[in-house]
Amino acid sequence: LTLGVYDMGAMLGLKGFSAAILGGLGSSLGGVLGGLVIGVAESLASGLVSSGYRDVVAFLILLLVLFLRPQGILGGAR
Amino acid sequence: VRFRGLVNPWTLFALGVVLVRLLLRNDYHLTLINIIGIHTLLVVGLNLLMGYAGQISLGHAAFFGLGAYTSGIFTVSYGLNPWLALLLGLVVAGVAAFLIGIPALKLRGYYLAMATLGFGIIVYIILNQATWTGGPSGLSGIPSLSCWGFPLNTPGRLYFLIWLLLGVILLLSANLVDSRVGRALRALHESELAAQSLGVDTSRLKLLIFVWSALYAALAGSLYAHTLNFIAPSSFNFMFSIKLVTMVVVGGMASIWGSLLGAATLTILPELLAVFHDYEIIVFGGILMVVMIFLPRGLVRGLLDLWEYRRYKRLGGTFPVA
Repeated sequence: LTLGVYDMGAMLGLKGFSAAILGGLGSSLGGVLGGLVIGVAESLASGLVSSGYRDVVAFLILLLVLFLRPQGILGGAR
Repeated sequence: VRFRGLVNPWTLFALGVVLVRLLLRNDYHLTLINIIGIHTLLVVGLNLLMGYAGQISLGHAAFFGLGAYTSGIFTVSYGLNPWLALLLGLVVAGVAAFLIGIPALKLRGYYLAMATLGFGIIVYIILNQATWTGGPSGLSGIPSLSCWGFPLNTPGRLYFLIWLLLGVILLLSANLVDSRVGRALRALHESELAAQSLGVDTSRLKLLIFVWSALYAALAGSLYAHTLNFIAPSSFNFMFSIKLVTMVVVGGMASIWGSLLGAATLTILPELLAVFHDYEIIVFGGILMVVMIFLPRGLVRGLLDLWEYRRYKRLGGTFPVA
């Protein structure tokens, strides 16, 4: 259950951007894949570690992707 | 920095600092002025990184928070001397900036923005969730700084420490900008490739200015913690990073005095707009939009341009269309 608040879109938007980068900017299939991976990883983290740290996972993935493979999973060579 | 004549920005700054202290007797006003000083410190650092070197950071609140929390935790939980805690805060934020900067500064444009943003949000969530930071309710009872046994525990006493320190930092930054490093930074901003071809070690320079800018933020954070004696994670969230970027842009990119004006404007404006109650944020956003549409180069440059335009018109000249 999630409450509706006026700034709930900010976090969603940022995670959406993370998903897009994870999949590879410019690749729509990558976006779908990135969103799926981040969503599953978040749920796993809140179950296995702690629900307080759930939001950390998306951004940790974002940092790792940016540092190790900036073009994303399905992005071609830059 | 060369001081030209008696009337230059530096003497005006010194005069302003003394005058403000003489005119303001109210603790609320003095606290507000102190907060402006702390924000200016942050904005000058971010301006060196954004305005001069052209590297964006959307996670500067994290370095501010690291400085504040290191100061807070070491003084409250371990009873350390506030000045030592301040130094430790600088070390922690500097090391963090160094470690995150090595991989992050290889990225450009919005990739760099996203990386720093991600880092900022992670730090915020840790500050909010961990038990040793006091969690969402924050840390209270942080001791004030003292100078050889003289406690700096009132806004009036802190005022001199903060603004004297700020004066030194501004002078240091203006000198840095005018130096060889400063010219290299501007070359880097225009074109990284061209700067490299002129012998500038751009990756080292970017890391240097990133860490330098984080040190300013950590210093501001420690001062903030010892000024308010209380810190909570919500002061260091993502929105504060955005606010800092706004201060840089409103004041003027690549302008030391713009940083002061931008920080002052965006700190005072919400207080003045409190009369609008719930609609404060709408009026605030509206003012920002108007400023950016009509003075896109920031307040300092924009106002100077207007003044020069008026003078030119008075002399009967036709102003060259910019």
